[in-house]
Amino acid sequence: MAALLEARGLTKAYGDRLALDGLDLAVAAGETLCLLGANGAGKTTTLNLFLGFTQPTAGAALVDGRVVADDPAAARARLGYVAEVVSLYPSLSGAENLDFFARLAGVAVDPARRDAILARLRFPAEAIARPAGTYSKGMRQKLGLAIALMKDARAILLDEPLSGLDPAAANDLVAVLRETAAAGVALLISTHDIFRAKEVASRIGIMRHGRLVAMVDPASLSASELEQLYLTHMAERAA
Amino acid sequence: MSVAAQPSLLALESRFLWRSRLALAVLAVLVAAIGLALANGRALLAAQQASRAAATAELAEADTRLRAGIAKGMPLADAVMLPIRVRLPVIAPLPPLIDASAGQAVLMADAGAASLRTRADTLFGRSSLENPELLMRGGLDLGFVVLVVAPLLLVALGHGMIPADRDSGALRLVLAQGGGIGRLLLARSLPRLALVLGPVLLALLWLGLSGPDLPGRAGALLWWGLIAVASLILWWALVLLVNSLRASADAAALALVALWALFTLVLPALLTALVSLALPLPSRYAVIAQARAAEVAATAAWDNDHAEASSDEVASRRAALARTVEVTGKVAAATAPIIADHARRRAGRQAILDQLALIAPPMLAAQALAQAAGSDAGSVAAFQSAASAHAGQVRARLAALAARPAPMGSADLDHLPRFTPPAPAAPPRAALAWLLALAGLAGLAAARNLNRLQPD
Amino acid sequence: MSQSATWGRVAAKDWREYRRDWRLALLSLLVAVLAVTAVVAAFVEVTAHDADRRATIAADRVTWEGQGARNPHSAAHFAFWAFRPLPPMALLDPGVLPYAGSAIWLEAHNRNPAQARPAEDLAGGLDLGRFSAAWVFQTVLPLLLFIIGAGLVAREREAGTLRLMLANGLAAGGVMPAKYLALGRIAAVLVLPLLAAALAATLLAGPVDGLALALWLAVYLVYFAILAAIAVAVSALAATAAQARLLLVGLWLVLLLIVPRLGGGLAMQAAPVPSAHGFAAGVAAQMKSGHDPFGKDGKAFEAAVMARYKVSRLEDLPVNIDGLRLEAAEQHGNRVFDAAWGDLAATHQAGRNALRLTALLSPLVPLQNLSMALAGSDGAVQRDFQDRAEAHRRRIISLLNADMALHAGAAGFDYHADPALWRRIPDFRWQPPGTAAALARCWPDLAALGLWLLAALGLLRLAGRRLAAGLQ
Repeated sequence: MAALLEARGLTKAYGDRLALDGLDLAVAAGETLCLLGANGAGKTTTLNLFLGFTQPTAGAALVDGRVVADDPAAARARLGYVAEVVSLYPSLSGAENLDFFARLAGVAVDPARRDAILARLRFPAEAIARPAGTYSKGMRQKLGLAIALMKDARAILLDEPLSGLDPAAANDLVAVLRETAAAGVALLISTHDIFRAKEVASRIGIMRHGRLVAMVDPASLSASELEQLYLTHMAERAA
Repeated sequence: MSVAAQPSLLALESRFLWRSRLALAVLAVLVAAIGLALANGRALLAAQQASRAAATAELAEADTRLRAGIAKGMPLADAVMLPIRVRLPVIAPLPPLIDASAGQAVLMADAGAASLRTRADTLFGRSSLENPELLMRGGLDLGFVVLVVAPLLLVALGHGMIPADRDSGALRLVLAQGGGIGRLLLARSLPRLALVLGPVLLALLWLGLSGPDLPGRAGALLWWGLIAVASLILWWALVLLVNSLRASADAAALALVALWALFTLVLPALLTALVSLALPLPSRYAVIAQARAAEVAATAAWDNDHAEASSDEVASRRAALARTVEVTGKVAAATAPIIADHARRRAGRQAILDQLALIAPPMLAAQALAQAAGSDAGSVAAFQSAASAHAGQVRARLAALAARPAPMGSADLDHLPRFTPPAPAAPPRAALAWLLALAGLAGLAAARNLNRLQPD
Repeated sequence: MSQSATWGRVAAKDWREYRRDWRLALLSLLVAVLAVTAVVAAFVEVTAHDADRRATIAADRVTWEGQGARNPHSAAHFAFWAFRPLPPMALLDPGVLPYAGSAIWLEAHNRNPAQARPAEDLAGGLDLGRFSAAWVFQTVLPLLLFIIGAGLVAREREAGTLRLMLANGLAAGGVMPAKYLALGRIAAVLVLPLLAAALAATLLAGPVDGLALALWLAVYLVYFAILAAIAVAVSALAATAAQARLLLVGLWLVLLLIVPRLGGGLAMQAAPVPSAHGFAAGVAAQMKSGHDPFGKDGKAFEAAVMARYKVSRLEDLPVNIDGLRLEAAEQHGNRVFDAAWGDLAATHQAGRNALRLTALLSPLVPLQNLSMALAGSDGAVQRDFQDRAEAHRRRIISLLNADMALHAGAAGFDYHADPALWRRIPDFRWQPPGTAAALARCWPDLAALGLWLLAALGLLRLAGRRLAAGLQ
């Protein structure tokens, strides 16, 4: 199956410092790749390059087979993006935020479809008419996901989606992410939460100093083995 | 991206704007300012019309009396004095859109009378009697609203279109949606521009529909409207330019307010002051001193300016009249070079200032609005110079009639030159082009930046 | 550490932050350039005007005294000019002077309006108030003060440093005093050098009443205290720094640009002045229709004069009847002028009263009234100049008429006065009403400014309480 997200020798330098160094990866439809790494490992830079928010120094990010830098707008049209803190317009209701972002993406809003997506995400129905300023973090993440699903994103990039969520909300979101992937969406998630990564990912990439230092199958390792592996790589950095 | 989605984004943004307290506050300030401006404009227009009508009526009445006297017949001793009793109206054309831009008109005399004794320096001795304490507070006309109030309102509405999203973090999601930031800015710009431009254009429409049917008013409205729109579009282009920079909403607001203050407050005051310092006008007192010296030198021991009181005899009245003609002629000749020099230097100074206004667009727009309205300093100067020339012609014709053996008849009255006001100034095409060019440049720069816009 | 010492620390910190913000430094520099230009331009104008006035008066005196032997009434026709000297403090605040004439022709049979209004010769541009030091202090500096003050509290609250300050010893109730002190310190550094430059230039321009100057300074300090309190209060009440900035700019627009103009417009509509032509025509008509000792009332006048001198023939009069006629006509004219100009002055006063109502809507209105009055450049002083000039006109025309009456004898209008007469006619001298008179007519403005100060400090207190409540 062709990769929806693909990095080929993706490199980004800020001056002398290499934020990303020859990254190669591919995420196919229905697959969830978690990028695991400490702050500054290059996870967010990777997401920015896929979104076309910044230009690669070398190599290329591809979305659905097209080079992002050549036509960032076309890449973004196929992508969904969920930030660590989904920033919504606090004075607008959830529904209005959804409408706005959908229309921004050029999608005509069908209320029935919107309700179906929200139901699938187990978004509390009565909250959709409330101002988004009153939402909990979990609700914001779900609404962010709903925004991505509304535009029929083929691939969704999630930046630390689980950090700061209480355990119940995190469990809920993990389930929602699994269902989303199962529906055929490619997910690329940056995180430093090893245990949640194991729960949600079909593959886990460990990043350090802008390089992908390991790619593991979470099913083949126990949580503690994964932690050990991660710490080993981190320790190498410290050494 | 579906094309049909575009109007709905616009509709959504319009709805969000309409719901915000800021929009209501902006609208309240704008509508209040426009209401005041229209009320002031209406009062000024009425006063100017009434003043001209009163002067015209008074001079027409004097003319009727004069003609009735001639028709009734009078002793020769009175008939020879007729040339000194003739007063011909010199009425300034009413600026067609004075109710939108008051310009210099509030200060200037709008009516004078040309007679045998009228000189350039006495034609408009009667300037407005308005309370200087009120004049010094400045006027609030529609031009003030467009040049001063509306740009600040645009800044308030537009400074955060992108920076506020950047501050809140929503910009990442906005950009990730891939709809194109240009489209979003368009959807945000149109309702904001409409909120400010709409009331201004409605006010203009109201002026067009409710105002008097003055010659040139339609054209004036059109050009005034074009300059106003161009000036506001330039401000919007600057708002977009600042939006395209990597700035917080607070920094964007500060930058735009600083730009506004620089262009609207600081530069006009500074440029005007520097030009006045560099090119001072000759003193007005010089005309006074010269006129007095010439008058005293030209008059003999008993001359005064009631020739009719000199004697009841025809010959001595004629002689007195001839003396009046001679004295007036000498004083006019002595003061003419000073007045001409003053006018020339004033025009030169204005020309330099007009060029400098290219770097202060609100100043340029102010000039252009007044020019479109017919109330600018140039139009006033053109009227004054035409009026002075006319007064000279009238004086010469009346002097010839005074010197003629046969007394004046009503046919002579009919043949006296009538004042025709100078042609109105050309529409401010260059200013319009310059404002639009600047707006285009700022817009292009904004577009270039927007193409490379980064979310943080 | 005492609370006031803490406030001082906060103010010092804010001053350092202000100094390091290049944008604010640039704006401040621009305003300083503007103020210095205003002072230089005004200095040049005031000194040039005075030199010009003296030269014109001297030239006029030469013309007057050199007119040779002629009939006094001929001289009365060409008569004199009165020129208004500019008060040295016009350098600080020209007030109404750009809109008021400074030269009045004093001739027989006519009361003329003042001419040569500088505003007529000003290069056209954007009229946001006449450029002067007062304009910079009244309009431009407040904008700068508002822009600087907007972030003082709001930014710290947004950044969370306000809580940090509270955790480190600043009492919640001390935030507003500390910030007020901070803005006061910044404002002092901005304003004081400019004020000092303006004052120095004023002292160079001519003798100044020290009390007027001190009071002038004091009212501006009160004005800045009002504005600074409003700025800090709004900064504390607004949700964000950007919002505070915009709110303050909006307030500035309304309070300092729109309301005074609103007042001016309302006053013009409430007390409309007659048109110049109509006014002159009305005066002329009344002059004609009234007492005319040369025409319709000539016989009665002659009879009355002969009765007064107990003679039965004009030739027996010890005085020249035409001189008396002239004086009688002049007296009639004076009554007409008194009525017409009195009405005009009443209309102007009504306009001033209407404008004063807006003093409750903007502190700029009472400040302008006080500033102009203390500088000797307000409407009342201008009116005094015009009235004194008119009194002088009457005095010299009467002197000339008296000479004609006493010395013309049978020669009548053929009588030539001795040139020594011209030298006996005094120059126009005018002493503007002083500071006490200014205060007497401006006490409502003083009261309004006091009310504004109280209201602004009240707002500051209220904002402080809300802030303290919000922080707990």
